[in-house]
Amino acid sequence: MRRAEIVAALVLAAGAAILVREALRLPVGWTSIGPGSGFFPFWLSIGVAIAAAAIVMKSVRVPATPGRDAPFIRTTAWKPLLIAFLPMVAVIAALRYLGIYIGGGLYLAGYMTFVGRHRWISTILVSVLIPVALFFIFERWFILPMPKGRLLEYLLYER
Amino acid sequence: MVRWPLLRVALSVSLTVLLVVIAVPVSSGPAFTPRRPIEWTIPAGTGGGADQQARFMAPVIAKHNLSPQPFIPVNRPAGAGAQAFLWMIDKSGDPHTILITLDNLFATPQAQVIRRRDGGRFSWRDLTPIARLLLDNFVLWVHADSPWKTLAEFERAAKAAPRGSVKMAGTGSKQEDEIIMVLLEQAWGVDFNYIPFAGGGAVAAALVGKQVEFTVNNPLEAVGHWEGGRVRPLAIFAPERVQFAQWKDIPTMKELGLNIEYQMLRGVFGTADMPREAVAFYVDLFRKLMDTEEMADFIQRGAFTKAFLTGPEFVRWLEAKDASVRGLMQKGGLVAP
Amino acid sequence: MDILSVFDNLLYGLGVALTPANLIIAVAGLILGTAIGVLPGLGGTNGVALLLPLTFSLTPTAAIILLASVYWGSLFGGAITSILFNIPGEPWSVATTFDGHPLAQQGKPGIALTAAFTSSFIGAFVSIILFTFFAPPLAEWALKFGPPENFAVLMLAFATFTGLGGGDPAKTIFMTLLGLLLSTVGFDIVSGQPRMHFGFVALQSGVNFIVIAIGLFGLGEIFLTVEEGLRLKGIAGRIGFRDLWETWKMFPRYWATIVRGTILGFWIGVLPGTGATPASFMSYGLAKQFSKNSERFGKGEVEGVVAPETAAHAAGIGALLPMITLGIPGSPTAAVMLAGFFIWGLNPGALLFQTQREFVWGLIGSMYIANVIGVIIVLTMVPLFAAINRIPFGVLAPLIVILSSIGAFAVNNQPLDLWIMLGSGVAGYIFRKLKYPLAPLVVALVLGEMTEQALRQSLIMGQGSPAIFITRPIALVFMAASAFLFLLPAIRSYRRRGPGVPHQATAELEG
Repeated sequence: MRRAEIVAALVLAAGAAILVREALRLPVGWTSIGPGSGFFPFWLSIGVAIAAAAIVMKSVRVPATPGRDAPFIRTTAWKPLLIAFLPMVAVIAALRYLGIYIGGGLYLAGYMTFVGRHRWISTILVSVLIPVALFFIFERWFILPMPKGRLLEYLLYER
Repeated sequence: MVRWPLLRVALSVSLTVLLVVIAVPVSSGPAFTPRRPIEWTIPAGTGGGADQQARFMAPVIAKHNLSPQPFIPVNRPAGAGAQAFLWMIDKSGDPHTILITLDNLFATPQAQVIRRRDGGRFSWRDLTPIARLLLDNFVLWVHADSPWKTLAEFERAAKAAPRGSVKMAGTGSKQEDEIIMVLLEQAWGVDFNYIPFAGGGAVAAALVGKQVEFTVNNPLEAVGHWEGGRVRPLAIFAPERVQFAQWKDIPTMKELGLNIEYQMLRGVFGTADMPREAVAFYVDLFRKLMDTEEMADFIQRGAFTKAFLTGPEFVRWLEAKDASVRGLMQKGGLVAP
Repeated sequence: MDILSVFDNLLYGLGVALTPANLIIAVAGLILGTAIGVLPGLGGTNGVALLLPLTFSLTPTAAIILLASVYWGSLFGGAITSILFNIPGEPWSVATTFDGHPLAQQGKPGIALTAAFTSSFIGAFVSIILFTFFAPPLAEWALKFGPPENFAVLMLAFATFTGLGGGDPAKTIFMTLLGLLLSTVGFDIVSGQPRMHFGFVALQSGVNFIVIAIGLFGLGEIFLTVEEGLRLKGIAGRIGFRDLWETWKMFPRYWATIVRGTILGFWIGVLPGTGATPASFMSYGLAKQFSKNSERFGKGEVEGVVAPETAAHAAGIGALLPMITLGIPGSPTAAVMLAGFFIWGLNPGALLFQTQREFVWGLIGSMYIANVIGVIIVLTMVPLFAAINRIPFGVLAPLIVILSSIGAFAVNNQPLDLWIMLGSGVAGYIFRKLKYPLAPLVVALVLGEMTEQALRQSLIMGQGSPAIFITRPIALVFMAASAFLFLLPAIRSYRRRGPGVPHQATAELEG
């Protein structure tokens, strides 16, 4: 945990430096009508950098606990975390093709199978019915267009 | 000799496929009818003028059965319209996406450089013009309790006041309202204090609450306050008086000896490279829409100038409008470096 | 207006609202609105905008009753996802997640929901009475609030939040500043310049805090639960109507919080420049400062649900006041309703009260009726909503992910927001594990934009001089009050410990 604390604080400090750089592209001074557009971003990012530096200092000063430092994520926790996380990345990355309904249905089916270990029949029912219900709610009744993806667009409108 | 027929079959199959691929867009025919809901992009947030109009017109279109598919207003307010404009380029060729515009179509690309995905600089020429529907007017409003009954009295007061002590509220920054203020400043040789607000409603509220001395709100944004006796119109920035009941008594700037004119485009654009048949469909649809009773009523209440225009004349008008906005913004020092 | 004519008009309005047709419309609107509030991405603003076309064929009175009922319904519904899934459906239900979700996790979703609905109702009902009797003078008063006054009110909101973080002061300061910094991303309204966008056009609309909150709270929570890997079965909590009675028994204890939340919410809702969100945060912050069990806040304290919900619903009512009396939208939802006025052939403005008696008093009458019916509807559904907590995690988790994505996308209709949501989810997970407080970040993100805008508008009005905050009497009063609140924790600990240990006192303030 101590190492994770230090690493996180260092990453945040580095991030703050990037923010300072982005803020410097704007006028950061005090103009005739009050602060310029970069005034707040600049001083806030300086403040963020100082706070991050303070967290780094503090976390370094905490004496290391005797024995092995507890890991940030237990080795046994990696697998369930990645099973939840990586498919999310994949579905969002493929949003253009799958859309939210088909992509969401696949995610639901996958998660129910590999984590929930539900029976295949309920898995199929749930992962088909929920996206279909959502489709009708958002696209048909509330006419709120969501990304439908190439496949669904083709099935709905191009045939 | 087994190879020949195989090759021939392969050739003819690929030829047919090629033909079908080429033929499909052509065979979509001269008449276009939408096959799916039409997405009506609004380059501004909910509650603003463009939003109100799209949300007003969409149900009128449905009520008069002008389209077999519904029109769905979708707000894309990012970057003072930039997000919506780029969206219309991303949707290139799509006949089911249109855009309602306000003058940020001209002002935003001047105030900042919007880059297309291919690196070129965006301008309205990247979109497909469909029609000009209305021109929105601007009126100079002061508070009803103020001593200024005429533009001349206001001018005298503005010139007598110390620099920057007369405050004006306006929508956004480097857009229509500020352009008009700069024109007034240059005509009178005065210096106003421009305070940007997020929307027309907030601007009107600032005047009613006496936070500022004047605004150039659109008629629709201020009509309720006028009827309630809280604000007073001094002049309209239109080329001629608006010929509706209460509005026709407001003199134009020209009559009062000031050569300042500004009207805002309320028009419709299609995606980049929208098929010609689709453009024809929308032109026809909006022409019919403009003749409905509901629109006539809306035009009167909002003191709009009805200005339906399409085709090459519309494009010519757009060129002139663009040049004039650019000129005004250069004059006012509002363009991107 | 004298009192008698108000009663006369009110009776007339109740009569209008109680005609069978209007009653049916109100019930339909309420049910629809609750569904809209539950579904992420479909907030009150969206819901009202989507229903606007349907009102074309109705009379103006029926139309405004429908839209207003949808709005009340969505206010009730917004609390449901906050409590059950830790996903705030609306900006003002963020504060409801702070204590509502921990309660649900402890197997008491029924109590959290009942507390939310009941306090919403009380806040709304008292506000409606205030609305009925004092609408015109209050609207006059609200007009006196320009940018300097709004800035002073927002300072007051920040002041109520000192000490919210707890734990490491460096981390609290870091998160607050980061939230403020995120709020500067996007278009600078004063200069018209896009800023802090790293070259992404999609970032120019700013980082929407609903997207961030869905990620930080909703997805972050899922990652934490997954890691613990314990409860694949869902939480078994007691379900039934017994929760209602049990929650109501607690309510008399919270009378001070309820009164404070209602007054704060209603009054801030009436101000056109601010709205329900700061009201809910202020109410929560003050409840925590004045509560005897302030250390229990954030861990599942019922009072922490009561405070923001009372204020949010009171503000929802208050926001309609400037709309009806002056034609000025007090919130985004009111702005969309105002668009409806034109569709129905009405001009919003001060004349409505005189010329459109049926419309105005029909709406006020329906506020009474619809809120009573609304709270009955949602309370009868408490067991049903609470049962959602029992859905096995293997189904619930991916379902929350899908609903979160829809909600995040619907805010600005742009795919980049899904990545921002996912990134915030990971950040939320890491921050929670390393004990970085999330609440200050979200509060700062929400209030930051309004605050900077009000500050810079004020400075322009004062031609660069900050003296404008002390020369305007209303602004001065609020600035003084917020200065007092900022110093309150220090004063308290100084008096508790006695003089001579000032160093300790400042440490307390930061903690």
